[in-house]
Order: sequence, then structure tokens, then C-alpha cells
Amino acid sequence: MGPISLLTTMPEWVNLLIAFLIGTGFGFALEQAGFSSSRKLAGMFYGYDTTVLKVFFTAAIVALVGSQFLSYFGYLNLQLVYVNPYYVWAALVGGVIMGAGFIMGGFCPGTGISALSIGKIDALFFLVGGLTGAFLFAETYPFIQNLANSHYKGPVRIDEWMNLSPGMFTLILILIAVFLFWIAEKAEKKFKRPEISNEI
Amino acid sequence: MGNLKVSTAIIAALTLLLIMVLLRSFNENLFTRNVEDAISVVKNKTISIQHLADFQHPYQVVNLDGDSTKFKNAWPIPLKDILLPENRKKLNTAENDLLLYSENPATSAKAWVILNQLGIERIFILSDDTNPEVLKYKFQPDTMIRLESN
Amino acid sequence: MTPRLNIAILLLGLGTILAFLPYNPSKTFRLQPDELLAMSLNDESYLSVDQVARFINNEDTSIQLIDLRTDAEFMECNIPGSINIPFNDLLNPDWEGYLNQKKVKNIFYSNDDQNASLAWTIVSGLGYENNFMMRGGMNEWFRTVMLSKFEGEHISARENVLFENRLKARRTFTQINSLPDSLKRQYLEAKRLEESQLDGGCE
Repeated sequence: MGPISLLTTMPEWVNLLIAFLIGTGFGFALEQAGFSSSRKLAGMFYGYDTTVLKVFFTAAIVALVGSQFLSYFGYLNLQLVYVNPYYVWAALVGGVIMGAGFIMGGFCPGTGISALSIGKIDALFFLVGGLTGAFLFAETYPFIQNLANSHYKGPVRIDEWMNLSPGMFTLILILIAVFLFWIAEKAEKKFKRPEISNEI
Repeated sequence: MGNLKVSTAIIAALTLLLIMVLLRSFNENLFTRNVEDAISVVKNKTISIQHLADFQHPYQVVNLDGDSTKFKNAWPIPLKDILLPENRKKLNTAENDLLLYSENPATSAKAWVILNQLGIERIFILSDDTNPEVLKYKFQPDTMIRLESN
Repeated sequence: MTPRLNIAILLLGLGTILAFLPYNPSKTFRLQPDELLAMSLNDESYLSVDQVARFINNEDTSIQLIDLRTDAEFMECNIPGSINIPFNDLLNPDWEGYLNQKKVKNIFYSNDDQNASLAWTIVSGLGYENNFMMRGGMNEWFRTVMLSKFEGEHISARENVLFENRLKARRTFTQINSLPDSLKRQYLEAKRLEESQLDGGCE
């Protein structure tokens, strides 16, 4: 857990404790940002509420900027960060299934858990559905193994693929983010819906 | 007014960060070279004593065993002293190509990596053998061996 | 509107500084020059061919031999149990899992000392731990383990153990390397697959 080189010499339970604390903090932040409401997440799809985009994109670029400066000053070893390997077809098919579940259920797995923790029934059904899906995936894995493993590309990083320095890639991403936030706020005005969050 | 304050604070923080970055960038006691460079150039950086006469550029031998008798005019700099400030300065400002020599090829290889990663460009490994990385023996397979006999 | 503008300025400013950083810290040595030099001067990073022979005879799983020579040289003959990471390919991220770990001792060898020392210094500089070199490389292996004979009249107990050890390693070496190429490949593939399954990620 965690690429902070200081932590690697700590006993396992400290690592797990830190993971627990970070996870709790994450869930709390999700709930506070209103992501336990499926309206908020569906709003992203229909364009009347783009909080999801703003929160997650901001989180991503803040983490990107922070980790790179920490690495530059020698406090963080970015080489220890696990890069997910890229399976082209698995990523495409999985992405479509995940996206469809996301828009139908109104949660992503993380927000589903935080919604369940404040007692939402729909989140309970959503999570049961998710676990059933995971179970079916595991049970049928031998049949879809070929698809899951096809076009393996290894741990690809976009900046390396584009032959850019990580810093330059970060700058481009920040520019895109700022531009998208601006568009998103325009969209919110255009697709505005009456405020109903007080009724629920 | 409050907004102006925030903006000023942001500009100040960015400037401070910029200064810290610059200080680190020009810190001589850090490695700042891309490691991949070392791998890609090192294969053309070995010169053997036998081919020294063919070497195109003016050169300066650095004897890492600290011995100044083996080569005329060699700089005797033992491996353990290569990072001393006066030696760093000497190696950094050398006009000729530097040939690192040691009787132990491991010593010159290690010194080469350290100096290359400190940004010294024209350094070579001077080797006793024409090609130090060649297998001098031939493996004789035993044709009688079958897997079952394990 | 202004808080948004301030945040945008902050992020764009940070991004601009990042974009013009003069070097990429994840591709440079993590150790400082004097730390790396001190490690380089330490003789404990060497293992003799006899020590390596003993590891092989004991099928010691706390070590991993890494052959830095080319694929062709590796297929011709290699020390049993070693994996092939050609020197030119050392920084390929595929090998990261083998090189950057804390579980086993990695013992680098090439035909002689030079490439093993280059590779050792590079991975040590990157901050990877548990790196060793086999002194003298494959040439020393042949000279000592494969070809040395006992000469003399009386053999001491110590010499006896030494030569028994060499003889046993020599036999394993010859057996494994005498297999036809296709079998060797199969054996190496199987070994790799087995290890890659242990290499999980956090998903």
C-alpha cells in the first residue's frame, strides 16, 4: 500500500490501517460531495449537474501535480506506483458494461458503498447486482479468457506512448480540465433542472 | 480586496516553488541524467589498450587504481576519491576524452556509470582485453543426456 | 467566479513549472552520488562462482540469477535457474518486478565482469535492493566450476567439499544445457508463467 518509501518498512498492519483510514476519508468525502445521490451521478449524463466531472478531474490533477513535485524533491518514488496493465479489448468491453451499469444504477462502486452506509435501499440492490456480476465473471472466466487476455499491451503510460515528459502531459491535462470545467458550467446552465434535493 | 490577497498568495507560493525547483535542478550532489542514456551509449564506450593507437581524439587516461606508472601522464584517481571536489572539477573541465582504466574491469565499469550519470559526456572504459565481454569457453553438450535420467 | 479563476491560475502555474522540469526524477538515480560510490566500494556485493554453485546445488530459492547476455548466448548455455535479462533491455518495465523487489538476492552475471558491474551499478543507483554480482562471470564459472581438476596427493576435507560442490553443479549445468532448445524454451516459459501468476496488482 502506498508508494511512500517510508512506509515500506512498516509492519503489514500499519499499512492496512493506513488503507482503512484513507478509504474511510474517501467514503466520507464522497458522501459530503453529494455523490451518494444517484441524481448527482446521472446528472453528469444528462448535463444538468457536472459535479462528478469537476470533483474527479480536480482530484486527478491535484494528485498528479502533488505526486510529481514530491517525486522531484525525492520524497516519493513514483517507480513503485503500480501501473495497471492494458488489455485493449477487455478495457473496451469492460468500460461499456461498467458505463451502462453506472448510468442505470446511478452509482459507481465507491459511491454505491457510501450511499449504502447512509441507508439507501437502491444502493443495496446496486451492490448486490455488482457482486452478482463479479461472481458471474469469475464463474464464466474460462469462456471469456481469450477476450480478457487479448491484445495485452503491458503497463502502458500515456505520456510515454505520446513521447512527452510527465510534466508536459500534466500541463496538457490541466489545460483540458480547465476547458472542460468551463464547458461543464455552460452545460449546467443550459440543461438546468429544478432543485429537488431538499425533497429527498 | 480579499480576492486580490488570495491571488497574491498564489503567485507567492508559485514563485517559492519555482525557486525550490531551480535550487534542486542545479544541485551538483544529485544525479540528474536519464538512466536510459547510460544503457544506450555504453556499448560504444569501451576501448582496448591494443586499439588505443587507433583512438581518434586526444585522450587523458584516468587510472582508477591510483597508480601513475602504468600509463604515462595518467591521472591517478582511485575510485574512492572520484567524488572529491578537486577531482570532480578536474574531470568536469577536462579538455580531452577521459579513458577510465583499472586492472579490475568492475572498477572502471562502476566509475563509468557514476560519472556518466553525473553528466560527464566524453568518458570511455579502457580495457585490458580487446573484447572484455566475450565467452572464452565453448559449452560441450552431453548428447547422452535424456530427461528421464534426472 | 473569482475562486474558480484563482484555482485555475494555481493549477496552470503548477502545471507550467512541471512541464519545464529539467529532468524526470523517475528515470534518474535515486541514490546520491556518494551513497552509490560507497556501495560500489563495498566488496560484499560480490559472490564467488563457488558460492553460486552451492546455491544451485541446494536449489536455494532465496536467490535469483540474472543472465545479462543476449538471448542467443543464454540459449547456448546458462547457469541453471537463471533468467535472461539482456543488458540492453535492462530498463524494460517488464523486468521491473524481478529487479525492484526485496524478497530474493539478485545475482547478476555476464560473460565477464564489465556488463554485470554496469548493470549492478545502474540498478543500485535506481535504489533497488539486494543486488549482487558473480565475480568473474561466465568465464570464471567455466574456469573454476566446469574445468578445474584436483591436482595433488592429499585432499583435505575442505578441498573435498569444494570439489564435490563444483562437480555437482557441473553435472546440473551440463544436464540442463544439453537439453534440446525446444525443451529448454518450454522449461523457461513454464518457469516464467509460474512467477507471473504470483505477481498480482491492486485492482
